[in-house]
Amino acid sequence: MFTIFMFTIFMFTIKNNFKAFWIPLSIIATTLIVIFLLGSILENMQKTGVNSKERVGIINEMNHPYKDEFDKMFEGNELKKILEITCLNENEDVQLLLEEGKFHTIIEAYYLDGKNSINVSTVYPESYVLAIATNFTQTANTVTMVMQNQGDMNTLEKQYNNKILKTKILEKGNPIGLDYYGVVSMLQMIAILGIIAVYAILDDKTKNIFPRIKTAPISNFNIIAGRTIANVLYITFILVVIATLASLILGVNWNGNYLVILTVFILFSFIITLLGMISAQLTKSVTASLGVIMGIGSVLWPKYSGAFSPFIKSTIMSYVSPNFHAKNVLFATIYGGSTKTIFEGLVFLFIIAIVMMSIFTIIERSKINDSI
Amino acid sequence: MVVVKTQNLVKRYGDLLALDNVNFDIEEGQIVGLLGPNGAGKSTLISCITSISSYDSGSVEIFGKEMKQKAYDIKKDIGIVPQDLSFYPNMSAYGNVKFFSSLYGFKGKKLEEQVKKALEFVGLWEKRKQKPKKYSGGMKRRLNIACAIAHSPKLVIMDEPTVGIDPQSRNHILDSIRTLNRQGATIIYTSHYMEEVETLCSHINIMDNGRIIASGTKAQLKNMVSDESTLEIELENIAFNIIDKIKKIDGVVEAYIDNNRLLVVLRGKNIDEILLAINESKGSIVSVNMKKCTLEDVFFSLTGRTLRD
Ligand SMILES: Nc1ncnc2c1ncn2[C@@H]1O[C@H](COP(=O)(O)OP(=O)(O)OP(=O)(O)O)[C@@H](O)[C@H]1O
Ligand SMILES: [Mg+2]
Repeated sequence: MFTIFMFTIFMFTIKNNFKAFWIPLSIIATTLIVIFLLGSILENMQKTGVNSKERVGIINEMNHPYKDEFDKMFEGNELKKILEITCLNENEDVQLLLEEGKFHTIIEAYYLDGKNSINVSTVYPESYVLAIATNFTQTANTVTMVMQNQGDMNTLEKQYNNKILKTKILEKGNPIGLDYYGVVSMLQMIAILGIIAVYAILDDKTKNIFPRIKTAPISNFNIIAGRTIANVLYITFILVVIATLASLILGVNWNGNYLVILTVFILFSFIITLLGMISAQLTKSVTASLGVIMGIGSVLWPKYSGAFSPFIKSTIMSYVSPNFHAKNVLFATIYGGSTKTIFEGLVFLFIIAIVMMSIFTIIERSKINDSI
Repeated sequence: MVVVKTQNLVKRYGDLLALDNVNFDIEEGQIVGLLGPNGAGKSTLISCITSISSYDSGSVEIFGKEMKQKAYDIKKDIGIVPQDLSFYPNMSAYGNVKFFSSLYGFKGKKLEEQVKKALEFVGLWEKRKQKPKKYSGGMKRRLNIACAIAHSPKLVIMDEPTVGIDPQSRNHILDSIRTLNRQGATIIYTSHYMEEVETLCSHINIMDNGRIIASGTKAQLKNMVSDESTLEIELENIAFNIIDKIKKIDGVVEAYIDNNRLLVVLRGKNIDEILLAINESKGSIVSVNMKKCTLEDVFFSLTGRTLRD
């Protein structure tokens, strides 16, 4: 099945891809600009899809005299305007409530190792509660409120890195928008690179290389496999470059499990490559294929699937959108989401890849190659 | 050995019968011409022989084995020069030839050697670093050939390799084809220039409307029409009784004067006697021209049309 020729085709494709260096260069530059624009300038307008009123859930396990004080604080008239507070049962799953978008912020107050502690988990970009809690732990002399038993600001920030989204702490830190748009914009922009897969299929036809390839002692499978692998690795490479640059230049947070991140990159690149190859076969035209890729890869998949929402919410489109699942897995690994979220997302990405590969194979088999 | 053998090959494009029961045999070492007007089905026949296109019925054997899509052991010994230029215009000529011959399993030093040989063969070695899009038409045609022969194929199939280029480049290409043949390659050469086919090919197949309407050596084909030829002699002073004298010579079918030219239709080889007769009657010869029967005449007699129609 696999022969040395596949490697020949692979090397040839890689070389050609890197020769047209202006394509990835412009994609990389544009993506970084988009991340920056959406992340820092549009952040205030878009609020990362979060309502202006912060939905706060309180789980109070404290049987402590300061409990009243604590409750009173959130009952203040001013705070009522910006907070929507609900008391929750002790046995609620905090992670799930946040992931489902039912709450922006959850305060857990509990008694641990002889200390009164609160733990604030939030997905809200400018969480008032977090600001108050931070202030409170720093200034209160009479009350010891420990953030998971660690009181200083640095560890506080670290704690929140581990939440679903890194939170913008009011006085300092990077805007959450950059971290957020760093992931979703990159996935959206990279779809355009599906065009190199279009070229891989249509180049032979437009440049009339077809008769030579068809008369060479090499199977169609090897040619397509060689090219596909080359293009997948190429797109993955560009994704890594964008992620690294976004982290170095814009400070976007990628502190997750690198193996999971790389797996998402590879699967996503594979899906984008297949999208390019399928549209090339169906439209037989580079321009039309570019339209299909932009329409599906850059609009339909990211925009109408909830891939742009910070929450794990599902529409019908969500199931077929690789952007949606890739985003879920990436956010989950970077911000300490559940293993279930990571696993589910990867499985969905895998299924989408398999389905697209089958579609491609069916079209490839059925087409009649009479072109000389 | 029979290199290519097709039996009752039929290929349809919708209602159009592009190949109509084609039977085609090629012996090892031949240069076989495939001559026919535009749309005769020459390129289609080549595509079917090489498994580029599928066909509806019939069979194709190459080197005595059944030719199929997956017959890689046959394919490795075939080189094809497509009618339309077939290479990457933005990649150097060297890169092109190297890529295509690497598809035939050549690697490293051997690959470089083969590429060099092919580019030198078509006279492009000096310009190997240039991109073909900057080449002239003739150079592109030569590169098109180089890409097909770098893997030293035993069977080279050329589909109008000289179309649209100047006579000098054309002669260069025709010479290279003869050299290839001397080096042992069997060659199928497609063209609608009958002069080319006539000078190059030992065997000729004439195609029209998807059928091979005649095949054989040059002499065999011409004999199909007639064995007559016309001798055209330009004279300065013509004695009128010469016509009668010449008509008495053995083998002369017809003789007449047109302006100051004497035209003699004859069968066989009695030119000496005719010239002697003119000398005797004190005619002074300006030029002599032997008009032989051409493939054009063969095609005309078979179809009632000319090749360029
Ligand atoms: N892909 C195709 N689809 C439909 N018809 C085709 C196709 N390819 C060729 N034909 C038709 O088949 C016939 C034979 O074409 P072919 O290209 O074999 O002719 P040819 O002898 O090579 O002509 P030329 O000298 O112009 O190259 C023509 O009538 C052509 O219109
Ligand atoms: Mg043709």
